[in-house]
Amino acid sequence: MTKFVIRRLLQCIPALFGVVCVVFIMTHAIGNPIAALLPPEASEEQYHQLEEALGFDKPLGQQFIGYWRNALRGDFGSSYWLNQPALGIVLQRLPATIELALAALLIAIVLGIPAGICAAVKRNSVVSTAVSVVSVLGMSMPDFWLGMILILWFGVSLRWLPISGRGGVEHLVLPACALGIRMMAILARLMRADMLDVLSQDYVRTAWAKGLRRSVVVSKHAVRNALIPTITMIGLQFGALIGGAVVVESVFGWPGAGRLLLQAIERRDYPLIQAAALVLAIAFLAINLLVDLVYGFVDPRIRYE
Amino acid sequence: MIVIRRLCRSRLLVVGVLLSVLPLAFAIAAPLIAPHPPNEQTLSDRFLPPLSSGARGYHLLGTDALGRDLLSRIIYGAQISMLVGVTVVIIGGLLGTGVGIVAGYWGGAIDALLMRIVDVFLAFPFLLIALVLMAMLGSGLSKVIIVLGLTSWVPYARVARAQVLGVKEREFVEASRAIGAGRGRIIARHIVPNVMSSVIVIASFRVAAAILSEATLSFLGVGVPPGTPSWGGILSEGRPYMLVSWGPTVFAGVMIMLTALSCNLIGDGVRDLLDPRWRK
Repeated sequence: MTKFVIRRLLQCIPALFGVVCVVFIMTHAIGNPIAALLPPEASEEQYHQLEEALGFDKPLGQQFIGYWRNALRGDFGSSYWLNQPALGIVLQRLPATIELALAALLIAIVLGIPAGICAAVKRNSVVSTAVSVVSVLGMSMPDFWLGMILILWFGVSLRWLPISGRGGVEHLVLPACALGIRMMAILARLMRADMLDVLSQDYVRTAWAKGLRRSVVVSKHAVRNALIPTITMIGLQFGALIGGAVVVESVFGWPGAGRLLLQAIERRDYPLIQAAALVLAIAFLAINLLVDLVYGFVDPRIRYE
Repeated sequence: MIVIRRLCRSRLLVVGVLLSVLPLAFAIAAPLIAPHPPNEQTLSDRFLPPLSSGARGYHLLGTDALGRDLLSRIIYGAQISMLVGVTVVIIGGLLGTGVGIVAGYWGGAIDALLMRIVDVFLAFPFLLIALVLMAMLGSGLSKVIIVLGLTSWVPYARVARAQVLGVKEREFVEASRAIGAGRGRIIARHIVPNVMSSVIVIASFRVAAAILSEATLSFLGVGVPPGTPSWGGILSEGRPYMLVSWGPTVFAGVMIMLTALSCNLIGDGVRDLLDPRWRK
């Protein structure tokens, strides 16, 4: 087990290296903050001064080495906007994003997986059709739009739930629903398809033939096997959840790292953009690692060798 | 006839095609059917509710914060969504399939390198890359298309590679090689046709993803520039006034959903037709 964790951690290194490089390419090679930071009437001299102060006058290779040296020390410079170390600000906001993403994930799992199982077990029934329709609708709905509709309905018309900010559970419900609906739809669809597949396998027929109870056949024989592709999907979709969090956080005024990234983009705050993009990407890598470890509990056939 | 009859047998495909008629008609015939110019402002007619008349005539869906006819903006918005959906899929599909075929057919170091690049792209939430890139490049329709195209190739590459790995060892490829066919000919005549059905299935789903991504970027203000009528832009412009006037929020959102839904259903239908394993 320890060996597997170490090997899996080592496998993360090339991806991590690539992620840091991609962030550099996006923020240094493609974009140049100097023009955006200065007012339009700034002189040539002021331009060069700022360029020198921020290190953008050096050759790209040198910038890259300096960037890596700082990145390894966790130093992304100070935010132009908040005048504090960029990484510190992002890490401060990260728990809120993780809280929102986990709540969305919980909603998706708790609703999506049972719905998929029901739809497969009661094939060709009203339940099955309803699950299919709801899931294809969920996949087609922009999450930020659903957020706006939830605000209009539950926040403004019915006044049941608060529409912005972070606080107790009641603040979490609407944004988590908006963020989780697509994942729920995807999980329900996948679970249904995998269950249908597993239910037609020989060992399930044997289980029926042995006279086992329906609940045992479904839960012990079918669900555990059908869960494996669904768990892979949860890991893969977590990236979309983090991406989606950027928009949903901004719709609900949720003080997370995603909204911070948007605010940094609006203000052309390059150190903050870099730090936020990198932290969110690393969070995603960590989640995928976690998903790989969870496999072993669900499927004992997977040996950590 | 046989083809059409076969296509009609897939209920999902038929429903998807029927649902796509409205956005397609909007996109193709926008100048003919839009009742008003999409950017014509009438400040005395701000926030008119649906089914009301203003100084410049009737507004079926009402007007927005600048007194522009909402229906006309939504009709023109279809052009952006459809254009982005189709072109992004073409760019991403060609790039990804090419990468996948090269990686799968050549194997070895090239395969390892390309797959590491795929890993890096997978390690990044896709919207995050698109968002940061758009922020760096500045808004614009062509930039949206290029950024979404260049960030959406990964699924095609993975699937094409997996298919090629299976196909290249088959007897007919072996036979072709034995009679002296070159690499280019084998790829064009044997590999590509066998990879295409999987690629088409992914492409049909990715149209919806591209449309949703464009709407998201435009909603966040880094997609299509504010003046251009796009559905994401209409949602974004309507958001501050959502409580005063719900029209832009509801109608633009419904159009995005309807279009994405039709693409997803067509995707399901195409998959059922091309990949019999999914026919359940």
